[in-house]
Amino acid sequence: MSQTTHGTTAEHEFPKEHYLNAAHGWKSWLLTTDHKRICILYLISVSVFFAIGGMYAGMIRLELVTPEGDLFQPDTYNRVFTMHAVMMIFFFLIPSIPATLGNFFIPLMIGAKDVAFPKLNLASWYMYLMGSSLALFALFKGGVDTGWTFYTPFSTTYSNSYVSTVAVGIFINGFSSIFTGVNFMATIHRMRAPGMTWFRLPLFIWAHYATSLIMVLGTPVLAITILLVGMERLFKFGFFDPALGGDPVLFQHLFWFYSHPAVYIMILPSMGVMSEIIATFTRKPIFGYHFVAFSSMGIAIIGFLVWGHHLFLSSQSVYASLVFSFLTMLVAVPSAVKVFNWGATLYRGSIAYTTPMFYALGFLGLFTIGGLTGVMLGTLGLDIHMHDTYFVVAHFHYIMVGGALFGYLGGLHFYWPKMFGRSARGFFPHLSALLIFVGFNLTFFPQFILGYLGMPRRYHVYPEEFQVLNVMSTAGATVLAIGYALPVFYMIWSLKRGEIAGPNPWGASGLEWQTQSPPILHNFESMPVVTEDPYTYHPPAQEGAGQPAAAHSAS
Amino acid sequence: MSDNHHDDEHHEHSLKPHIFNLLALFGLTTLTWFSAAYLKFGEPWDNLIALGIAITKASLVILIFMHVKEATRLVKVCAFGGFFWIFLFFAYLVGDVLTRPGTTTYEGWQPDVRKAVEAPIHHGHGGGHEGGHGHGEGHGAGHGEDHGHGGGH
Amino acid sequence: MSSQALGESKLHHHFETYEQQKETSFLGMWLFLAQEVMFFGGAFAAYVNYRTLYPEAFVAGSQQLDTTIGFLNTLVLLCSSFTMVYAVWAAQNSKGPKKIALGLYGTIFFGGIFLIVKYFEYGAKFAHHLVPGYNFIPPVQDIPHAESTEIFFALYFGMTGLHALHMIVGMGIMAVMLFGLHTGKSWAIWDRKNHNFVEGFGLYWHFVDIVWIFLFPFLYLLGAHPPSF
Repeated sequence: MSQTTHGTTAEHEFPKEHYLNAAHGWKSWLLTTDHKRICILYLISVSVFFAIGGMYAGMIRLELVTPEGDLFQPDTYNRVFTMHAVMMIFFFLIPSIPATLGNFFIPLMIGAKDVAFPKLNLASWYMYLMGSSLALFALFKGGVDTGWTFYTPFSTTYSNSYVSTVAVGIFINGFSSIFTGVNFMATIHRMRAPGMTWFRLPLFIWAHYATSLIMVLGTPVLAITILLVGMERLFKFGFFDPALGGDPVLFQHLFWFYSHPAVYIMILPSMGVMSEIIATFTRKPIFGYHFVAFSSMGIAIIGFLVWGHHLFLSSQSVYASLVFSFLTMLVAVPSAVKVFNWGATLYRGSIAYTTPMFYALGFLGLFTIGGLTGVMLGTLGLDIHMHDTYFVVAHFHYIMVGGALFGYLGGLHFYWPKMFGRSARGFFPHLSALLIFVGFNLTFFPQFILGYLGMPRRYHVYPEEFQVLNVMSTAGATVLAIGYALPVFYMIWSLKRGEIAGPNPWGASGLEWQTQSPPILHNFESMPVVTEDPYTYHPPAQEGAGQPAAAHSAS
Repeated sequence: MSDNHHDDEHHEHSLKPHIFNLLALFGLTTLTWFSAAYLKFGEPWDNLIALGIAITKASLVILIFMHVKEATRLVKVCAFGGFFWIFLFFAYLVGDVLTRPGTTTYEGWQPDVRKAVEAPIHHGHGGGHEGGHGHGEGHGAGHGEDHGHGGGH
Repeated sequence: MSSQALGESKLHHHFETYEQQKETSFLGMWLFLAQEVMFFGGAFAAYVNYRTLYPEAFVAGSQQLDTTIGFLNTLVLLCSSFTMVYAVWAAQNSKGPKKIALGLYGTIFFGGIFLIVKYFEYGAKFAHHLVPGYNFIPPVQDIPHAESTEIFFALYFGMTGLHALHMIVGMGIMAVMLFGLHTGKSWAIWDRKNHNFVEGFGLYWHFVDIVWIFLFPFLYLLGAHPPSF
């Protein structure tokens, strides 16, 4: 342990040398190979796409205030919800936690100076930039109307929107995912500090390892799928042309073989963040560390084999559907292991109600709702009733927003002081977390009811009896938007004016908290040596006054 | 540390196994071509021989040309893990296609599945009207007509 | 440590030892190849799917391909793999840039022959109205799903095209390597201590070979042919 700062309550000084001022000028950013700077590049670009996706969400909710289609033409509405999904899924949710927090903290947590392939890491950001620019270009030219799933033969034969452009964008963006995955796996295997055995790794690392596995094994299948669609659109090859006997269900198999595991690319890193936050703010080791670690791998592996539950209502055979239905319910087991173990960690913990902890507690509830409705949808008989209704929409938003986005925001608040050396604490972060929680539930819970009553997704008009619930949903979206907007202000404000954090503002364990904040260019002054299990919290008596300080200044 | 490393590499490499490997690959290629073009063992065997030889050849390239035989366990897992994973995908895919109603190759699977799928069409009249009434007058007529056509077969 | 003597520039700052650097870069390469397996695997999955659905059409399609040319081309590609092994061997045992270059030239030569043969094979498909989406006429009409033969040829062009594209990329990288060897660039001095780049590239080239090892039976052999000459 190179430097320990437990128990120092005195005013911290902002470090003189750190990665942010190690080099200057725009070139030092655009050509950087430092994983911490690449994290910030990603952070900025990902936020831009979140804002764009959010604007489209706003348009959707605005259209759905009234039963009539008064804001958009049907085709325009198709483009709006497609672009909302494309921007949010491919350019925000998939890179969000791995490329930002993962990039920054994997080397720090395992005691490495950088990721295994720093140049590849930078290349990954440029791939992301190229892919997302193409998607933006298509967006300005009018967007795509196929839905983010690009189902054939609509996408290959009939749609005359910018399918090819967006497809190429997603193809290129896939490389960014693959590069990140390869990089993380090589880093976790080969760059660990002395003493950092597999079972001393923080659960954040385990979650990212499982995520990387999906990125490496899943993304290329999406790439080839897009390529087949592209070849069909360019050369009229006829892979999916029904006139030639082309099989649209094959496209769905190929597409969901990536895109279902992609959901786990979004949720697994978030679960990793949750483990860190919950352990820190209960001052306890995670209950059943080994189970939580292996459940990450279990989710990644079983999660790969459940894609067929998206095909229950296509012409997939009933026998295959039965198997997929069973496996879908099996994924609930490792997910439940995690939730129960977090619950058990909270039990008799010394809980500090900080902003990250608000997000963590919110996550626990929302992810449970999202997961259990997922089991409902995975049930073969029930899915026939609820397929393509708002129930599905509500379900995956509970996972993607209530799960993945809560993890991202919670993690951002948790790690912000480490990344920039200054804390963003106090009233506004709490208010924002509260608004997001309330707004989110107000937006999406009515959609469960709407879906169960039979309102189909992807229509811009609906029967009048659904209006009350839809207005509730739109009202919730407004609250949600305010909640999202607040962090932009207080976080930028905190960069200059925030309280100086010091190395370990939360009194957390883990290597990343032992170096200064913001860290120096090579992360550690000297190679750290790990001698303890993760999440080792000593009794308060030993820790002195340092530990409750976090709780006090947070509220 | 790096001294050991050099010694390892020094007496590790000889071209001889690679030459033998090339000859074995030539032999296997000739065999698979000759068997497919001339010998012809009949329906399942030809395909099994061709695939078996392809897998053998690929394994030889991986183990010897790509030095996986001497590599760490981790590299071995990486080298064969991808193949295993895509094989799993094939298994599910073919499993689905073969058990779909109407797949040409396995007629034996059809009857029981067909019954389940076709049953509601025969009772289509009643079902269609009920559904139509539930949703509203205007749609009800359309539904009824659609199902009428279906029932006429 | 003698590692200092090897020249500081070659050990990147974030690694502790050469051993670690070497193992990491090979692990990265293998993970990339696993990714490539899944990439081509997706195309093979499409093949498996359609072959299960339309076996007659696929047999009819593969009977349009010349087994003997495919066989000879396989041998040519195996030769290119061997010359690649030779280049890696020359680098690993410090045999000097000339022998490394010889191996690379050999690989480009055999790869080139493969692509030229492929070019003539493609040309024959254009002449025989077998190009999907362009001038396709089903070669055999009196079988079930005769129209699906077009899907076979779509897969034929798609998969061999992707394979050829990988070869062209590989040959481009080899051209850069040869340029480095001839002009004596510092990054192209490959010997016993430093040959990761050659070996890593060799893995890529062998992988491309493996793809063809599977494409050959899948496209040319499955479906019991009459001899083609």
